[in-house]
Amino acid sequence: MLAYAGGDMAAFETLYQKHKGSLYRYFIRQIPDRTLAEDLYQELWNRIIKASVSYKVTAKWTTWVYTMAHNLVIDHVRALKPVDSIENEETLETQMDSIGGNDPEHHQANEQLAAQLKHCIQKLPQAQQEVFLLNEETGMSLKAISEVVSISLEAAKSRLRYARSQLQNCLSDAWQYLNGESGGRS
Amino acid sequence: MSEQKPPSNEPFDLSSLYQKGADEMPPESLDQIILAQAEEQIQPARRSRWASWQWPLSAAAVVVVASSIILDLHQQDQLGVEPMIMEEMMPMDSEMMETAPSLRMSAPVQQDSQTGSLNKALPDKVLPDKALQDEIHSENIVAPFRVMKSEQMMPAQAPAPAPVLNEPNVGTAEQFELQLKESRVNERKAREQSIADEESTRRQSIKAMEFKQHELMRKKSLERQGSDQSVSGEEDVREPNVWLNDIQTLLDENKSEHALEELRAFRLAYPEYQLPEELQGLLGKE
Repeated sequence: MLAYAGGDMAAFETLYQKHKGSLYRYFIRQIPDRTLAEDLYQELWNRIIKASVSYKVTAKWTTWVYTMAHNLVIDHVRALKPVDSIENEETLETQMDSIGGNDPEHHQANEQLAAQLKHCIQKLPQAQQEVFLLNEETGMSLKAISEVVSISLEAAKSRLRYARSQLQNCLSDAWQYLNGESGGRS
Repeated sequence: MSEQKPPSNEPFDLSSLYQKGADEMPPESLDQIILAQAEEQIQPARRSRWASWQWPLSAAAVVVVASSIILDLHQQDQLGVEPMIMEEMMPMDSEMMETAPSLRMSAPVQQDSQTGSLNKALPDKVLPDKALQDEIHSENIVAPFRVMKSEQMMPAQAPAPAPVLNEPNVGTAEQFELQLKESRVNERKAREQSIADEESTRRQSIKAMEFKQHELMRKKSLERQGSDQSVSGEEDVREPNVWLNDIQTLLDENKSEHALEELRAFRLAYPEYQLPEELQGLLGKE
């Protein structure tokens, strides 16, 4: 970042290639509207670029960046409510059909579960969702996550525990549904 | 499908499942937009770095250009002054004639202008009285005084022409400096040559003056003694043989004192001439 602030464009490109995927997924996992998620993603990088002039090394770069990303998400998505349970069931049914319904024998179970996990993440409350994503995408410690989302360490632990528990339940339900469908078809 | 079912009591491996599906990447167009923004952001930084040096560099460039122009003009001025210095070192004929009024010639003005620089060097004590000066002037002894001025010098003696400065494509400043030095050296050599020529001519003319003076004295003494010997102006310089015969005649007439005087005059006029033994003996007695 300092090299880029000194005019080294190659340094910025390296930085961008390293972090673009995780940041992009951070937004699209939390924001169902892909266009809005991409707008926020672009806005985040815009802020990073502008802040590079006055950037000082006071914390880990990832902590600094994800704090800005967190603020963006909070500003634009805080009002969104958790997805309705009935909608979830309908969406789950539709997605399972698209994943394994047509030709389930040619798909691996893990791939089905991985796809289902994305849907389960979107079902999580936003607070738990964000903690889980930060943990999985960046490998941040709970302490760093607590700094990013401005909560206590205990609260971060609790959110992550609840998030994982709900995802386990979601995947278990999806697995049962998938097996029941495939059993019925066969 | 039974083998696909995980153990009922084991939780799903969320991390590996998440990483398996984490393959979404931003579209290429979005990447280009962001990288373009980043490129745009550092352009002003590069410009500002140049801007911080812009004024000092511009000022330095102005100083360099101005000093080179001033130096060039100064050199041109020096070359313009050079002919004036030469004029001052070799003053005009009229000034020289004013400084030596006693040596003004009755010759025409054209001849007068050719003798000026030498007349200044002639000592007044050579001419003892006004009668002698008049005598010299009447005999128009201008030729020994002639000195070639720099304008009349032969091409080989004349100073080299100064280099033409305003000619385009003159070359670098170093070449110009070299040409300037060469021309100055040539001018100095020509000046020294001219001074040496003037000096040798001056010495010759002094010798001629002394000789002429002695001749006049001799003529006057002859007139005083009532000698019938012709001393007309055309015969003031006799042939050596004739002159020696005259001296011998004086000796035969027992006018030894007069003969000795003539012999001295002869020696002055012809210092290299081999005298007969009798006359050498006469000088030896002295």
